[in-house]
Amino acid sequence: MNRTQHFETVLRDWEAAGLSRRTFLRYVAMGTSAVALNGMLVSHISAQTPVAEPEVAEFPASAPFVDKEFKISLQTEPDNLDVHDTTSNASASVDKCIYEGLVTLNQEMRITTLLAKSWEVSDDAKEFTFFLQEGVTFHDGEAFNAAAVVAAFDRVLNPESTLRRAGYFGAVLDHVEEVDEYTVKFVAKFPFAAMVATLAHPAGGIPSPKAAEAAGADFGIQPVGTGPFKFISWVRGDLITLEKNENYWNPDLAAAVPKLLIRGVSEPSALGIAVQSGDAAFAGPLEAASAQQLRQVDGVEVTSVPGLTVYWATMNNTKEPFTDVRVRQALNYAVDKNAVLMAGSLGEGYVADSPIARDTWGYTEVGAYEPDLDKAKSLLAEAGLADGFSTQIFCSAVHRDRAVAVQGQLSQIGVNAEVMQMESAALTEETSKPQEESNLQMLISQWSPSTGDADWALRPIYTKAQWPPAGNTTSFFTDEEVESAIQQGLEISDPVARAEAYATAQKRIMELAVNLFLYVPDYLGAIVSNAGGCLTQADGVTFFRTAYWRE
Amino acid sequence: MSTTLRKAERERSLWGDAWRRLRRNLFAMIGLVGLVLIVLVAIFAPRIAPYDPNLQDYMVAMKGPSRDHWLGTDNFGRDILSRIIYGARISLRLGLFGTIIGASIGSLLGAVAGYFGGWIDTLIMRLLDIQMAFPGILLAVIVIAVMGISDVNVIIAIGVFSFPTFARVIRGSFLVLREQDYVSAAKSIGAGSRRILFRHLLPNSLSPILVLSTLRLGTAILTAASLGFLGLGVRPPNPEWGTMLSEGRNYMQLAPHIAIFPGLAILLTVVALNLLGDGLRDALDPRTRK
Repeated sequence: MNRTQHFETVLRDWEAAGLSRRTFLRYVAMGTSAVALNGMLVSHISAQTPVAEPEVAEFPASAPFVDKEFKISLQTEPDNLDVHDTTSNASASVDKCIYEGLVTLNQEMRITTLLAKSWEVSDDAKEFTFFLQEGVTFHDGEAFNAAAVVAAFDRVLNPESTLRRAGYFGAVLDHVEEVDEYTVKFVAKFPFAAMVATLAHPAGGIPSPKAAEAAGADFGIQPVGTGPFKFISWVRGDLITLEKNENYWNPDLAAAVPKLLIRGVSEPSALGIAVQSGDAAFAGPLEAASAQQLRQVDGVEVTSVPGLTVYWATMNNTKEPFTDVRVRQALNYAVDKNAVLMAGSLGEGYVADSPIARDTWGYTEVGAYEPDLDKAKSLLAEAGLADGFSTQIFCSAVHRDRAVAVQGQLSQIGVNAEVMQMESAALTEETSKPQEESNLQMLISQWSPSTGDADWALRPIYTKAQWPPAGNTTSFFTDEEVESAIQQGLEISDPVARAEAYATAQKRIMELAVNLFLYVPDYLGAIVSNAGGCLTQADGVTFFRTAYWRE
Repeated sequence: MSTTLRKAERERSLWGDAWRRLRRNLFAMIGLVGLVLIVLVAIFAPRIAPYDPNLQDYMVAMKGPSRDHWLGTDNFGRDILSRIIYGARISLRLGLFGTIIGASIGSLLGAVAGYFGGWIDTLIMRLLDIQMAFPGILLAVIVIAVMGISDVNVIIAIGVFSFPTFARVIRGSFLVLREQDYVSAAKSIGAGSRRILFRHLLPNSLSPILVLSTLRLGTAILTAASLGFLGLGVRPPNPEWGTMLSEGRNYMQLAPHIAIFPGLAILLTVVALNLLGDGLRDALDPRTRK
């Protein structure tokens, strides 16, 4: 049963129980999963109040506690363990053990409750009230309550804050207020239907306000949260040690191993070898080549999750000849995306059939440009470029294979693309230039919406407000219809209309061939057979707070 | 009066002598033959290579050696043999021009320092000491990082990397040579510094320059490959050996041929150059002259 069918079934039951279709759709718009909605339905029948039941993670409740430390190797070392002061996936992976948010994303990238028991949304999608779990304490013994939540968000929303997540919350969140000891209200700056998804992002973890204040700038190396693991030590360049939190509030989600030892291994093949040689019980995210090799190894299992990341080649829509939609379409027709998927990820993924990935909430299948060289050539000829043209593809080292594959494909229609591989700092400098100064023609790029929501998948990439240096619209694209659809998606709370708005935007973006859309890679990890509970998730964050030994 | 003119025995020149000695050195000859082969491959690459080195064919991607693709294909389905053949052009060109730049600058600086001595010598040599205190590859990386990735910049980086060694060797031989009688003789008949430097001293220092160039050519090719390995070499998709090695690194366990063959190409070329360089050194060393 696919997701849509699943939601339809739940909606039928929901209406049968006398709940309004509108409320249901609003929850769906928030990204609430069908299972959670079912939970609400059950609690409605018993208590007449919609409550989101916490979902049980993929983790056997009876997991035997084996007193053996659990070693994890990540692709990079975290940069900072202050949950509000990092944008790195590696940091988010570790943060998810130490901190917890009011809500979180489960393994299907759907919102589920964690430190909140339930939430309510006002009809204008501006006020979000969360009812908190009681009896939760931070690792430093401080009580978790409404005041702590308010203090945590005051810290990041403070206008003088230099925390790296200040902008992420500050852009949409006006303030957070205490209603009573276990109730908080989040007030948005404008109707913002994606607020709950925004809080479910790994950056939505709640740090201990007291510890954060005491540590000041050092909070990133002495983090304190409410999670199942406590921070013990961090030897830079080597090892992060976390220890089981004995006072964890929820026995169902408590740690099943006494210690987590986390390392960053930057050499991709060494990451896979770490699991094979027993240096790590889990490693991720893996390169496709390592994963394919490890699939042949006994005693190691490879985890694979379709990603939320989409790879593409941007075309500077303000620069000749990419100003002509026919040229952009021609390039889209010219490239065999399966070939790029093979060269870049050995086939571990799927060809993008929309500007956003399938598992993003609000996704609509638009359909990819099927490779058709004749059509590509005739479109180029119509645009007056029958003999092709020369251009440059900028890329960093990680995207080199994709750039070379695109270059090779484009040469078939006479487009002579030069691969400009740049050192990543130099490339960032180039991609941060405003439109008038930008030298960008084509650029291999990617985006992954860590909220799992269409808004964060589209707004940063396809709106004029997000042109560099402000954001990531390196195609310098703008279109009235797309802008208004994205804006609508934010402001209206009716989810069907919201989903329709996003569908309109996705179709229009594809039709205008804003970018040369390539593929969605799978996120891969490897785990030894006698362990479980670890996974590199669709957003590239590695989840291992549920790590356990099988024997 | 009759004079019997005995036909003068053909004089054995230094070079002829050296060649004779070189020919007797088996390893040097192996190196020479290897080098000649590589140069021929580089020159006739378009005729020898079975495929276009950048032709992508996904139907045969990641395949091991076969009859159609003797050294297999990479993840783009490109023929590795063709890429190595074309890569010989790139690697030799980078190494050769880099060495020429290094040798020219280095020899000039060394000559000036060695001939004039005094404060000029001290100044130049101390500056070179500072330069040599830097790890060479780091210096090359800095050059590329500042100037950007391109063939010309790689050549410049290799030149910068290699000139101090040349300067030292040339200075050393000039220190000895400038005390020679023929230099005093030239001076006494009023020859200028430039004439002495270029007509008398430099030709006499050619053999150390030649030996060093041969040996440094190997190092230069290795440096180009190292830069390529670090992603700072020539622009993709050009088939430079070090870049190919680096690209194959991710597939070491799955498809080792992608990395092994470019690695072998680098190895064999550098070994050939070193064998030849060692042989040349022995052959040109006046002390081994019989």
